Amino acid sequence: MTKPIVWMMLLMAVVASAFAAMFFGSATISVAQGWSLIIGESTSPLVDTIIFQIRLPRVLLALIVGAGTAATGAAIQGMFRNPLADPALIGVSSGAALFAAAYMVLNLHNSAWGFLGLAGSAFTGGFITTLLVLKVGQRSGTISSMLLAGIAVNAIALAGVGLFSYLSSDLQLRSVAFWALGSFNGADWVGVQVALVIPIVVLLLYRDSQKLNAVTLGDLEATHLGINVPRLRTRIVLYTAVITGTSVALVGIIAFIGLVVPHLIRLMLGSNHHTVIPGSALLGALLLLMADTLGRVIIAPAELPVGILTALLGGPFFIYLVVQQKGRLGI
Amino acid sequence: MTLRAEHCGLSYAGQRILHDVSLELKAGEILAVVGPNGAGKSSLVGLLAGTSRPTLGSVTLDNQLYADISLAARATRLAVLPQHTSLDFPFTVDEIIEMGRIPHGGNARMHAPMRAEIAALLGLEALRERVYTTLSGGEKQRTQIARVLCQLWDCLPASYFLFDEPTGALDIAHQLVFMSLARQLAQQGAGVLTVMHDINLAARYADRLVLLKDGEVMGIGTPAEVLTNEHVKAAFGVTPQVVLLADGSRQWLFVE
Repeated sequence: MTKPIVWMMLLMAVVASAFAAMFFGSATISVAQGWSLIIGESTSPLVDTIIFQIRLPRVLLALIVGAGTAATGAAIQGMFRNPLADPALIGVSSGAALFAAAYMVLNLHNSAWGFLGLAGSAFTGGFITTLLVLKVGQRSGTISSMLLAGIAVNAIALAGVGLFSYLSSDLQLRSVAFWALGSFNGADWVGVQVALVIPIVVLLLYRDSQKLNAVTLGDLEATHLGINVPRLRTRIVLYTAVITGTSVALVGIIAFIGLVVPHLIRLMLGSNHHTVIPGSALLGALLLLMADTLGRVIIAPAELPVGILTALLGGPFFIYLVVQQKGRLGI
Repeated sequence: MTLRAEHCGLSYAGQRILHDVSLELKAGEILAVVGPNGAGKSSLVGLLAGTSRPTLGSVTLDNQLYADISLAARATRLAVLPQHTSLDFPFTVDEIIEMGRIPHGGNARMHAPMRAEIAALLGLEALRERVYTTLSGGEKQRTQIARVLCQLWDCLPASYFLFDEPTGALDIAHQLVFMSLARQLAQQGAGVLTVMHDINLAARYADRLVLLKDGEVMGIGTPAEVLTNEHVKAAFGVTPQVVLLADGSRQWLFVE
């Protein structure tokens, strides 16, 4: 398959699955009803509500979060020069979740800051953990130590989340549990509006594509190509924290999309970040939407949180990667 | 037009790496750095490249301190091949060569002929679409050399190249290819510094040699001046025998 065909197919798959996702779910919507909606005829108010107030925001949110998570995964892998880096693996997501959980359990959730405060604290958590992991990694100078630091930070943050769940009331416990699992259950238009920051940051990431290409050669090599590596790194960390923080605040931890998707794109379209970042955004949007839709239908009328599904599908793929690469990954 | 180190010292974690090093890399010459393992050759490259700051003394590029030249501007006058580049992402050879053009901006199509020319010079033309991670060590090394050449290929006069052991992974034929490329660069006005282990290759192609030992310059000058029996014995602990070849050039043979 040539590259333009891959792009076309990705784009068409995203559009098709977005339409399909609107018609799947615990309430059945017939093809006829769907068609009336598309051509602008009104159907029953119930169908209108299901489509426009419940499913459409949910579909959009899944697309945006999937795109953002996969694009940051690609950028972080380039920056850390390791194809196994992932916001969820190196502790960024759990750091964000820890701060979000703290925010909720300490009952700041009902304060005037409301959701923005929650997003802000998730961002802060993501930023601090990324910085911490990065500093530890720089200090010892190897990429493997950075990934190991990420594992440790991840464990600490998740213990913190556990602690907050232990301290929380029953009602809070449900929402904290939701963070640990990742779910689009609460998607609404406010969430979609907040999420719009994600595509903007993905564009910013894309602007650094060429620099990320250079950094994959090594910090020294990139410096000799005229790139201020520490400044680039700070930028990427900031972008990662914004995207991951916002996503976590909105839908909780979604693992493995950021790890797996850039890999698949590199296999199909090569390693150039000019391709990998937009390609990952498209495929990430597609896969997360498909996973969420699957989660909505397989045990309908109940729902399987999408974080569980991505981990169930992504985990084995990760193991496959490790086995297949046979120690060539430099970790 | 010189890249100059004046009375440079470099210490790391209290340990002296380089001591009172003074040398010049002039435009149009090949300067080879030789010396035993751990003599400070790579540290010297880092010092001259501006990636490690001297604890004493100063390094200037055409009479400007590195602190006064932006990284971006430096990258259009100085290209560096580090000793080892590890890359785990499946870029193609051509994409890596293209990265050499990053300091100059522009798009990939603009300099496609340049990439083709350089790839051909290094015998990479058949490998351009191959994935880097599947190449042999020598092929990887040639790709990295091509990237470094591509960086300054259109601005050779008054540019500088620093190569840290470029020939280490290359077979004999490609070692010669590299050395004659270095000669071409120098002829077009570039200053070329290259760290080498093969003393005969260095002596044959370089205009001048620097012999480093324990972080100090033991000798600097023409190959005949630097590679005296005394120097070689003191630096490497082996005794050389010098053989004069029919064409008048010298050949160093080493015995214990």
